[in-house]
Amino acid sequence: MKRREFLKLSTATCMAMAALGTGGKQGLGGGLFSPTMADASTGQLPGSLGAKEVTSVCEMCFWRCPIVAKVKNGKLVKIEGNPKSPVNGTRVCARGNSGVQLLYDPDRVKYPLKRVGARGEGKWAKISWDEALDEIAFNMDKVRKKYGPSSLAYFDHGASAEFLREIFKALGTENYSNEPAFFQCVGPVAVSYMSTMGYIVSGTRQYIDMANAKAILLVGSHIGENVHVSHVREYVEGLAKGAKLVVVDPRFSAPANKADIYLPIRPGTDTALLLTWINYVIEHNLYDKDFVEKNCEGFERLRQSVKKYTLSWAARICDLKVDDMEQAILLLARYRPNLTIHPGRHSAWYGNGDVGRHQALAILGALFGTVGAKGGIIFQTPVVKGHAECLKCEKLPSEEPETSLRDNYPFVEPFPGSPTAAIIKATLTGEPYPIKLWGINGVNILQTIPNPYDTMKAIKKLDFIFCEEMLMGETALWSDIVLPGATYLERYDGVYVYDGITPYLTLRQPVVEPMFEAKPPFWTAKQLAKKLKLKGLSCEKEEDFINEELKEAGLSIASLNKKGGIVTYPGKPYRDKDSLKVPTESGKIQLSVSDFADEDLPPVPEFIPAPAPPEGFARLIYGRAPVHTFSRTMNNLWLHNEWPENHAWVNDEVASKIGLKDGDTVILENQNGYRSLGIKVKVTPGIRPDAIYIDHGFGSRSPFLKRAYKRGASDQFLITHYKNDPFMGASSHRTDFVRIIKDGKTLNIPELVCVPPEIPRFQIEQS
Amino acid sequence: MLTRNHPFNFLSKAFYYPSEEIIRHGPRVINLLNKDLDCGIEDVPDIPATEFQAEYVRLFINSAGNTIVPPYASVYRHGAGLLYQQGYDEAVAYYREAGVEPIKGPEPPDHLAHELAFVGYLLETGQVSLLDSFLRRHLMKWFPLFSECLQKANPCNFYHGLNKITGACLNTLIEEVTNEETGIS
Ligand code: SF4
Repeated sequence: MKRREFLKLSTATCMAMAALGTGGKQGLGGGLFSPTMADASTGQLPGSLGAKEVTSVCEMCFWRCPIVAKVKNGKLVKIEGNPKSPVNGTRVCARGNSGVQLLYDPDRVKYPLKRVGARGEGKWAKISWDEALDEIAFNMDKVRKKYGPSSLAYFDHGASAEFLREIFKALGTENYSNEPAFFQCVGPVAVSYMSTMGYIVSGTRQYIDMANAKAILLVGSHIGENVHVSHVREYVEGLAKGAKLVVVDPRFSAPANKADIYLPIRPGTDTALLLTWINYVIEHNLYDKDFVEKNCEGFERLRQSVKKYTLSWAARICDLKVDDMEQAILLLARYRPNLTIHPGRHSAWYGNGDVGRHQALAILGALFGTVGAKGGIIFQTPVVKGHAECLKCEKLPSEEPETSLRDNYPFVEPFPGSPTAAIIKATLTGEPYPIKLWGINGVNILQTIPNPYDTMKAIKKLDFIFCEEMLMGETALWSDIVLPGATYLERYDGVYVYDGITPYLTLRQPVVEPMFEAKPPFWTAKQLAKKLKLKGLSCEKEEDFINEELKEAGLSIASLNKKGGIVTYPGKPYRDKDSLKVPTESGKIQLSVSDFADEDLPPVPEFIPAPAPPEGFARLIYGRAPVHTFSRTMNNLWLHNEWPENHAWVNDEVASKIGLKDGDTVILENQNGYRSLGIKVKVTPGIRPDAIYIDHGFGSRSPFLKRAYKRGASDQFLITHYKNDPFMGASSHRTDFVRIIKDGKTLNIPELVCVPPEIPRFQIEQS
Repeated sequence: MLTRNHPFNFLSKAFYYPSEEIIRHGPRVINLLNKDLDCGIEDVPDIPATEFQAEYVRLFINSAGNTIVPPYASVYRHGAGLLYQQGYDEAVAYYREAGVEPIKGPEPPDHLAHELAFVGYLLETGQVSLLDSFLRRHLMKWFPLFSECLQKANPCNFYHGLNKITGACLNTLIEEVTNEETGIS
């Protein structure tokens, strides 16, 4: 081969490049390559054939389906359900499949980033992990010393956030574990069932037996729109076996479409319907007397208290027909006790009355004797799992604050954390004490907590804010330091046990190595503990504490993997009504909760009307898109392609009166003048005229999420008015109202259903 | 084929997160290369370190808006839009064929910096037909798409210059290699 000059470069250029260490022949391929050591064979089977299979647990939502990841040459090529899993078998949902797209999303947070512009501006420099953790440790220590331990707050969600929680706990703050999942979602339902039945029938999981139910009642639950594989499968199995279905919902949802009786209830009046049904069941002797006598306390108080709730009253309040309500309760009664009164899940709706609504569902289930019955509420089957001592972090000596953010909420006690609304308020006002540093992990606080405008204002008041993120959502945008978190496919978490109908034990483990400089949160917490000179988190690596946790179950990571990554156990979900003993103090179901009365809260649920929409507005309601999780998956390529944006459901009569057509792009404006991004209208008879529905989680305001940015409208950015539940402090999400702006013109929503005098109207001035 | 004094190790390094050396001397090298190659780009002034780094993050690490410029073959090849897809497989197969292995992490080996360094390596080791194939069937299938996105992202002078010069070098090289392969010179 002839050797000659290529790209004639001047001596000056060559010298300048050489001075930079970038002349030719600078190590093998500029130092970026080494001689091949591995076998250079390229023989490949197509697709996932011949792939190595690694069992793990999905985290595309919180449901934790056991999965098998197929890995080829260190590359994840496919995700399936773990065939040994009794709950999902080989199935995963659309999101479960799309974990591959999360792992390989080019918009991932790849390196520790430090803010170099104003907060929220999105200007960053890449820094080393050491520098990032030094900065976090320095600020945590400084803020703690200056303002006291409670000035540190930690918003977290999911198993991986627990390691960092230990750090916050050790530093002495009470404001850790402020799970938006609890304070914006399951708090009220958890409190009501805990107080009525003695255990959390509905929290992360719902302990119900829809697969064997002869009838199912859903009040505002959208199974099939919110997809949790085993939950949907049990529901579908029940229906396939002939279960009757009653659906109560202001919107003709996916389950409404399958219902035998559908009750399009006025939003905010569900408790009125439930209390009326309770009264009807008692008055007409439709309840299981024997069950109630043996297993319940407080029946007489309940009976007296619900007497006033009659069908004709409820018809007016709920805007339903007497006959329909009666048919529905008769249908449910016919199938007792093999009846699922679904406890609901997301329950932070109206602030006042949320606990009562779920208490009423629990009571109805108890009156029908469904507790411990096939098809009803089931009991948990504990699965043995150890606790690793080496995960603990020794608490620094610190004084308790004089006033706690938890003080106003008597039933928050069994749960950790402070109400998120109280934290934001304290950060804004400095009362009862200043909060000056936030850590965030696993949650996009701006798309999750009501009034994100207040949250942004609060962030501006902080001395320091950091987060661990996988994608650059709004939270990352507002942080001072962003740490790149390993996805669930790149890390261990703890050992998972499922204590429902088909109990099992399984493990989340890495299927590939972390990309870029993403790190598992255990590593991050351990390094931070060292920098803060905290004693604890002594396990060297994740495998150590996992093996410790597994030891008690007679397992190790290796032996569990040999068994296919999952071990199943026999379940004991049912109980005979004669030997039923619920885990309350007396062993009986509390139809009237005296603990509530002790705190001047109603022991038996009462109907507390949620104010009706102000003139010209409709109530904003929201739900889930079946292929998305919260606001987390909108940037996922496959899921984005399936469901790129949300639509505003507007009643067809309303639409024709205000001149709106299906597919029109509009802006939603709430009662406080806050406006959404553009959203397309879906004109449908499947929603009441007094409500407008949108899917939750869209309308991202982070330009770093290229697919999700400005696609659809965010419900959260329209929720600026909220009430706090008086039991545990959850923030309400259905207390805001919207009207429509089209082509710059405000379109008031005409009132097509009159509001009875018992329901007050929302006063805009007060919000 | 020349084995010394090619610019690809420099280009490779310049497409990585700006080191102190690149911040200090990179603009000067770009200006010199501009003169040598007659690219007609504006002179690149010195840029303060923070601005330099923030610009790199904006363009290549976590970029805002629709100006997506991830520097990975996988994102552009076969319209994948994702990391670690066919474009990555292609790059790795070429490395393997050349008898080298990319150094492990933190960047995926189909990062432009790796691919430019690989071009340099092939030049240095005189693997002309492999270079020809790598350029034609892989790198030049995606570099123009990347380059266009980078241009649209309105980069600072340094990355504007780097983009132009890399394009010029690759285009000249591909011609050279064709001539070499077909015996025309
Ligand atoms: S329901 Fe879907 S997203 Fe949730 S854990 Fe199961 S497979 Fe994953």
